[in-house]
Amino acid sequence: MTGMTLTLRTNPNVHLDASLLGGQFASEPITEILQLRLPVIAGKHAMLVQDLFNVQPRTDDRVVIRGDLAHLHHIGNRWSTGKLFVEGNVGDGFASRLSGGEVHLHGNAGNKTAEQMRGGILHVIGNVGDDLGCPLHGRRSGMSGGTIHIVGNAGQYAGYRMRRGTMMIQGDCGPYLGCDIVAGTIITTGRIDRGLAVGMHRGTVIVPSGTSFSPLRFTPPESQRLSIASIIANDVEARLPNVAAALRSSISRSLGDMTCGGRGEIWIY
Amino acid sequence: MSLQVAGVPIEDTFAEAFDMKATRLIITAETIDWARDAAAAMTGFGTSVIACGIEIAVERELSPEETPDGRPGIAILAFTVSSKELEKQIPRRAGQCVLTCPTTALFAGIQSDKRIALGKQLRYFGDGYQISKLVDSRRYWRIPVMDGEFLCEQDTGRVDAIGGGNFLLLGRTLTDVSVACRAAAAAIAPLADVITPFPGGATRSGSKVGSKYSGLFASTNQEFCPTLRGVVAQPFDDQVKAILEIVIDGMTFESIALAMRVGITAACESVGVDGLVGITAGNYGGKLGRHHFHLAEVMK
Repeated sequence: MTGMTLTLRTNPNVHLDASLLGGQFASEPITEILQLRLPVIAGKHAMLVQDLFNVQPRTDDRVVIRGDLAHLHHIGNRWSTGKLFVEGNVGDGFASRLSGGEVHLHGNAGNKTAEQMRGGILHVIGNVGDDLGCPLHGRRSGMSGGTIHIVGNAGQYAGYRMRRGTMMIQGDCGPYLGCDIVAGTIITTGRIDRGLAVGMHRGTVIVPSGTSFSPLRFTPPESQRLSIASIIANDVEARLPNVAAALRSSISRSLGDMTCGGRGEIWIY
Repeated sequence: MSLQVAGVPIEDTFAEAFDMKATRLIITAETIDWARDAAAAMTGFGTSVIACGIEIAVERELSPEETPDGRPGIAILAFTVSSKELEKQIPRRAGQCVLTCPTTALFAGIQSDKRIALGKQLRYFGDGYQISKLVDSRRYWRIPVMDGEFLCEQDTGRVDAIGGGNFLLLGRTLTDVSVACRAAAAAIAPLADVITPFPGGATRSGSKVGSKYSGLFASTNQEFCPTLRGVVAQPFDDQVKAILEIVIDGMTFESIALAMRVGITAACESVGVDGLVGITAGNYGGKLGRHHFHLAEVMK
């Protein structure tokens, strides 16, 4: 894959479906990338990449997209290999269906970031909107692999129907974090709004002490030392050293959601 | 002049060893005592593939910094003649000896595409309350037990290895050869990638293939039994009053060769020529095993 930098030259006043700036688009020649047509959402026409971006080759293999991209949605769609760096705010569906490689965002993202993610690494320095890692419309499972690390806040329903993988949110979370989670691990460091892990089937949600959750849905927290906590601590050590240290000592654990026969767990550190 | 170590002659012969299948397991526990207890149980009745089906022993103790969960641990190496036997023995021993031992956890100690089930089989003990956790592409099973959770990795790697590296200590007295044998085993113990599966690292019952009794495929090697001197022809003189054999299984040819050199040197230096008449090695004429450890080359 050839590295390149796409710098937004003109801010489109319409919302564009930028799914084509994903997958393995960077393996195409720059001349072909310039001819890509980004459809206007709910419109009848499209805009050419060459009308929006300056495209420059790079000496390394990174793909960098710069600018205020809030009107461009689904950037990084189906990304599967290599490294994508995005500098600036992006629209909805950022890194949706991510399955491999690395995607880094320095800016805020809209709703449905990492929708139906299956693998790879997503690292966001900034806030994300609602439905982080959610299922595609009509699908049963949400995030099913890979690692998400958000250094910022997340909106409501982060980790909805999550099935596998690790989601780290180094900031505050909106309501219904980990709602209907089936498996996987969610780790947070900030405040969490109401409805934590409602409908949880299995999986692990790790939250700081002082986080409230329904005593009707979850068993009373009990202090426990678990070997698996050390394994998870090793895994998150580089990104969340304070959480890793806390996990290596004793944690409190609640099981639930009892109202739906769930066997998931909330760890309080 | 023949090769000597501390004045002890080293016979110009070779040890004959065989292809085996091997794996490494890591047992951790709240204290090293519990880990030792689990390891002792798991490695019990695992001296020889002849009747145990497996040769299994402690490789070394691990500090908390060396283990996956930051607790004291023990590395175990296991060898069998077939992968099928390893697949039978390991889950059975893990279930009865590690799962049962308080505070323990069990991890893979080696990675390979070929796998031996651990938690993949043991998880069913959880009766539906077990929890699977996939961390960094490795799957763990958390099985609820009376002291909390038994954490067990899904499986461990299986690799090709070598079993049956050996050397024999020809002693002037039983006391001398016993001291030399202990010294050899102690010197080999800290080495990585090898085990000495027999009690104390040594065996006195060197065997030959076959027997006069039908159904027995191994029996005492009368040529090496000093009490039969005069009854059967023996390859050593009457100064030899007792013989002990160190058997070494290893992950690589080089690791066994190193263990043989370290062990032979320690044995010879411990009692010298006053205690040992010589050092030799066991082989079957080179017809059975394809790995030959020539003592002269090993001691270079």
